[in-house]
Amino acid sequence: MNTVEKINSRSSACEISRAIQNGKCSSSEIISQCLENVSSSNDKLNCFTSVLNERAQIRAREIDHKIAQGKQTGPLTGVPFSVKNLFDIKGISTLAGSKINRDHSPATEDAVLIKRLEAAGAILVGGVAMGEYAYDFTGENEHYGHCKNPWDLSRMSGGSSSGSGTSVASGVVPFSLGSDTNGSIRVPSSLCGIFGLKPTYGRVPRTGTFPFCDSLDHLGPLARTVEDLAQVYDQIQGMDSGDPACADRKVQSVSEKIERDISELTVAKAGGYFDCTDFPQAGAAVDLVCRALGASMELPMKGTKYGRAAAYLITNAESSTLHKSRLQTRVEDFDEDTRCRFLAGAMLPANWYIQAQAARRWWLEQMLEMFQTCDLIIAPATPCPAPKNGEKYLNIGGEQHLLRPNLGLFTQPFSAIGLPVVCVPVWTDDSDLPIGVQIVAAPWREDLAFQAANYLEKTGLCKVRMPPPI
Amino acid sequence: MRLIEFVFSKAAIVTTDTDKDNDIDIERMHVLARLAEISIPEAYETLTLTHLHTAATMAKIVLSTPIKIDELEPAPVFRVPETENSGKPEK
Repeated sequence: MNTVEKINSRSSACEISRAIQNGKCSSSEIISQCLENVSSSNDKLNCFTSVLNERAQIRAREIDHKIAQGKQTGPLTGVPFSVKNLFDIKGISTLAGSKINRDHSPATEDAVLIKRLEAAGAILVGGVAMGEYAYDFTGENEHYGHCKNPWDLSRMSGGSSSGSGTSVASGVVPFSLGSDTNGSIRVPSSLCGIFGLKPTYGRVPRTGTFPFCDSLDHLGPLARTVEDLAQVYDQIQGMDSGDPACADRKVQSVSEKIERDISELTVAKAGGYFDCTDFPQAGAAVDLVCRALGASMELPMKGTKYGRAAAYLITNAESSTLHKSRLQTRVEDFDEDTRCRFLAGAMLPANWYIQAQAARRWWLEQMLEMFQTCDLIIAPATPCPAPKNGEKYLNIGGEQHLLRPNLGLFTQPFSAIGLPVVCVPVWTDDSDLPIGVQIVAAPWREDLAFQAANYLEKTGLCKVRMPPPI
Repeated sequence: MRLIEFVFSKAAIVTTDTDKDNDIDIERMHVLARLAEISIPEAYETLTLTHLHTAATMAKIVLSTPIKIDELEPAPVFRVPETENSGKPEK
């Protein structure tokens, strides 16, 4: 069908929804095409761990039926999406990237965010790859193989929401849901060249997802346009009593606000800890964004190292406590890249953890003070574009450091204190690979980060490109 | 020496002292592991110790955070009333 050639599963979510609602194509056509794309690309991308063929097709037919009857179907009508496989999907065991969880009983219901998105008309097509138990920035997984970067299959997708990054960047789905504890939405967004949102801690409920580190776990969307990112965010935010950390706040929609003028916003460049002398492409990307947004100051970002160190310890201690029984009984079944980190975390003295929580409070206060002088802070998302699969080290200041924990060295300080961040993609002149830049706002001010991201997309600086079909 | 005394006599180790002699070693790691009710297979000793040392490095940073004594607080909670946003006032 000609229309489906123009509007297809590689189109944006909002384009698909409008086209289906306007009768230009059917939900069933879009879903069939999407499922075909999943099937034809998965051998190369190693992205989907479950594909919901029957469920998605039934749901598409239901939507087409509703439309034929003139019923309302929601702002994401017929839009296919994927979720990181730590989200509960009814009838499927929630893997969380692990071998151990294969033995879990299938989930008895969908995660709250899946329910909310499907209530808005979207259609879940499958669960996607992730690093084991989300303790990962690379997208590599010993049990299920590496999830590939669609820009270069020999490179990392980034993690731990690796499948979310790959499924969106490759054009298989318009958006995906991931989780971000220390950077796991922003790192794959950066390495795959798409938009990603880590909302304010407590904004989006985590009910029905497999946890990693309660103090720092966030859920959020990855998408190819700012409009899609905003629309999905608007559908998933809001209180749910199943998550004790979810804030009892009204929904603060951003879709209607993204076009607002940004000339009144005060934008600052993150300096100090975020200096990119050792990371030229990251530095160039930050400079481009700062110039486009008219950044008027550079902040020394004093104290960042305390925030990052606190995040490291809190993550290590809480996640190891979560997995203690598995460490006691099935230590051999962990991924070799996570096993020893969990073992080490199980032994941390309580005073380290308690002091880390206090340091986090202190770091938050420093950041809130900074936000008295500016609206947005611009920082690199990753130190480099996608490294080669299997790469173990990152050169920082002439010294070799482990890559796995350090790919997130620029994202950790912000998630440590729950700040909202939109990650935008930038292609610098000297590289064929994208790299991300973080737009960081004060707590609950996602709207401002969205406005800046939308402006950058409109200027063409941060526009998602499509890799060749796989 | 009782296990608990042994661990805490060495715990300074792992908390504030940068002296190499006080650093964690394999023997002490196994004592900590027993206290934590886990066991570390021999094949994973070295890498686990490496990660413990990384955590110790992070702990040194965290323990030097300029927080006034007796002002420790638990995890951050955004104390923002429902009607307000943080950051600069909305224009």
